[in-house]
Amino acid sequence: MTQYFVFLVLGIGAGTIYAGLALGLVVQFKASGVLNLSHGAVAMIAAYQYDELRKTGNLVLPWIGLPHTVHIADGLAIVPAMAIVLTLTAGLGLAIHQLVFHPLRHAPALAKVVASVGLMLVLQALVIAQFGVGYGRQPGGLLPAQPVHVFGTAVPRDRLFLAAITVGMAVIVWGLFRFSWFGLATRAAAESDRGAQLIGLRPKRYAAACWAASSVLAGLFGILIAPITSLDPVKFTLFIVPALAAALIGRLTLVSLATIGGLALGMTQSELLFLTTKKWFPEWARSGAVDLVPFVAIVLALFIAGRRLPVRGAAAGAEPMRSLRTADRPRTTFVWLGAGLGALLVLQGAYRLALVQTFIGVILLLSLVVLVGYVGQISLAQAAFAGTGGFLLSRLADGHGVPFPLAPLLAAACAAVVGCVVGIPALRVRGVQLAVVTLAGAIAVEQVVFKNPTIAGGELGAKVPDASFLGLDLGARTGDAQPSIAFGVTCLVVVGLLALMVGNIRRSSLGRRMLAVRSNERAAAAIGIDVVKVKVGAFAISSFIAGVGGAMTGYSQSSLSAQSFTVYVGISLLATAYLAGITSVSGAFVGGILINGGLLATFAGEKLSLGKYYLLISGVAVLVTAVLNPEGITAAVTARVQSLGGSKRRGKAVASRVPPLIADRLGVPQQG
Amino acid sequence: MTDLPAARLDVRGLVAGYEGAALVRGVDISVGPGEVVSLFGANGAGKTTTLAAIAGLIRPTAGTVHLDGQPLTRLPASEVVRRGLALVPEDRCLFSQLSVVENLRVAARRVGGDVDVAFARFPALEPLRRRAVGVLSGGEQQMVAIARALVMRPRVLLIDELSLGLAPMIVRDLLLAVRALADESDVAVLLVEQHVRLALDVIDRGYVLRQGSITVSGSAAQLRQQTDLLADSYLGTSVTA
Repeated sequence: MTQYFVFLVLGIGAGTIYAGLALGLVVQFKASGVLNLSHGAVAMIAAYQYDELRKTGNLVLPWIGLPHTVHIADGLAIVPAMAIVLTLTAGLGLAIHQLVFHPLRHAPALAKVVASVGLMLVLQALVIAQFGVGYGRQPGGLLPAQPVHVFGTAVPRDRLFLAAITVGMAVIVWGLFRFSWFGLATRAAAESDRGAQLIGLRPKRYAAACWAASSVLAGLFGILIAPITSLDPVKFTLFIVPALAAALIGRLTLVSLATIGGLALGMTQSELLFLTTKKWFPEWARSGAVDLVPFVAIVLALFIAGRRLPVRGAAAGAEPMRSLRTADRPRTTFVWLGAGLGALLVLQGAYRLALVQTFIGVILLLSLVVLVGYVGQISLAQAAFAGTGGFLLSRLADGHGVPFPLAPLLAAACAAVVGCVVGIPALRVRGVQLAVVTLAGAIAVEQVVFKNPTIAGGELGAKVPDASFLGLDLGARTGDAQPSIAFGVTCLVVVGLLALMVGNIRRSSLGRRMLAVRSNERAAAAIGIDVVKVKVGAFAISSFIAGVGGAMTGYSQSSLSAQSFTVYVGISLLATAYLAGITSVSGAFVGGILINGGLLATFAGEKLSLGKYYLLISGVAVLVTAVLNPEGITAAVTARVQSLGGSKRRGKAVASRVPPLIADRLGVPQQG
Repeated sequence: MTDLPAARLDVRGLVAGYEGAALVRGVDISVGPGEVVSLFGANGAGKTTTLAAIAGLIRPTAGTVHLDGQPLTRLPASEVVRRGLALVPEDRCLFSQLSVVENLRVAARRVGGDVDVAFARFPALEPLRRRAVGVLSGGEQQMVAIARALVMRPRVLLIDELSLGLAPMIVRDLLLAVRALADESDVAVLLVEQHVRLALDVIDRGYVLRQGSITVSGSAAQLRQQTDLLADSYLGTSVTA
């Protein structure tokens, strides 16, 4: 019995960071209606900076290119070190607000999600560039950890301190919002920008203060918790998921429930971890059981409290993207395919490998064009669908000897079924919250399925035999030039078929129904469109395409590991798709070139020796795109070409510049 | 009314619009202390744009706005409020999740105002103090909107579409309350009102806007004589009364 209690108390450690981040998420949501997925990364960077400052006396500033290391003093004490780092973190929070989320305050959900995952990738890449991957970096303890006896059981003392600090911070935040004029003004400013101006407030200042404060909170909890969890840029960033679960338990507005939720999640996970060590616990369910907890919590919170969640932030529909008005012509697709074939024949070695990665990337991005571009459903789980296809292919082809075109098709069809299941929450949840569900789902699938040795082959990986068709050997590693041209052509044919299919969907009646759902679900339903069918159908098509992409990934490597389908792969896919232009087939081709491991990344690594910074640079590019040019590169280029050709489309969208006060009087459709 | 009182709000040659299209083309308006003046005009005549430009919500392209001789032109809305000019916008822009008293308090703290002024002016709000504004009726919300402007102790009060979505009975009460406010506290009131006849009973003077310019102006009595002109301005055709 006592051990159950010890694990419960140990769970306060993780619970503290969940609750601390959830507090910040609630504050940020109150202040600017944003669910900031990069909040965990803010905590991480502060924890790294603090650890470095304490160990070496160097303050590492959050940028590269310019000098970024300042020597402060050797053997800096805890309090001054913390003060310096938290001041820097406050500045980071202000910069994030000023440069990213303030400009995006009226933007549609997709731009906000992409900006926050872009920021997450930037901060993570920055930490990796500045501190190294740093697995096992173990900061020294901050709080006394000697055991203390509670109910006759010895438990580490620091957990009790952490619980007290968390509750204390929550009370302070709650009190500020509830009783101070500052809190009142912040709530007012968050609710109506113009209303606040009309009573003489500058809404931006209140939001900025909240961003600074919430970032300081994240930094503080990051520093406090790092000695317990150890510092790791991959794990630490993902603390955001249980934190999001806690914030959603608090309906994004209640500080009390969010804090309790965070602590409870940490304790539940810890207890579950203990239970998985028991003999009676089923072997197959041990892997990732802990990661299932936040996912289940998020789904429950959204389904139970879904109706009562504030709609701010999610209320804005998808923006009318110019590029959606014109369908992709098959001609354009053939030009791309021709270029691909030419490149395949010309390129060799690392570049041909990159080209094949680009082809596979195009397939994965096409899955997003259908789902996000056409129907406006934000998914961070495409890598999970792809992985489903990949691992099933291994089972079918390696385990049961199913031949080439049939095995990947079957695997992709199964991925489509999984996609439909994931699509079910999308019937009730939309916008940013759907992105959160898919993010948590992707982590759950990665941990529970892909990393499960009884399912996915464990350490050795899942084997995928070479494909052959009508006696032709299509294997990637056949012949001396790897990957083989035959495999490249196979990929290109698959890309071509899928690209033409996706282009066709846009021009079909289904495509028009998808666009109708995207722009306004209620209006679509009002003219007789079955919104449920369209959404679930889009998830099925999209995850089928992703499943094919996963199967091709399987063929390109001899054995698959969970590494190919991590949650970060899914995040970068959405970010890259958005960067390139998520609404068109051409955008998918451009995105394939930009993808990590694709042509541009290889070129940057080989020729410009920027490989180390590619993730950072692409993350910054995503951020800049989200803030300045929400339609992506492809649409920007197309618009430029059209305007050079004297297109009749003169003048920019006037509607977007007209303030809502007058917009309705002019009969101009309002945005966001 | 030939001898106008010293202008409290003085607007000269105001030009404003969006994306280069001027909706308001050279408007002159003056309102004296204690005066209630109305702006009439058809939809799209530029009434809302005029008020938005005066209040600093949009930046006028030409013209000047003075309050008691102090220039307000081109100041942002939040600064204009602090100098004593409050706008009640047509969609009210209330903080609907905050309670009535919170709506007033957040506005009052800014300029050292007092929320009791508002409850004295609108006793009907007293029992609703703790109610969230979002659940109030349209008339009650309009009262809160005006009350929220009042607690900031403005010298000039602009009210856009006082009667939007309200029953005529409530409109009359609100107009009378505005009249009383002007009489008792020397506030200069400029309002946009669609109920011409109701408005003419309480206002001192009026302006008629048509396609961004003032076509008619005069005292309430004069305007009442010229209902055909007013109708013309609204309907765009000559109608003989």
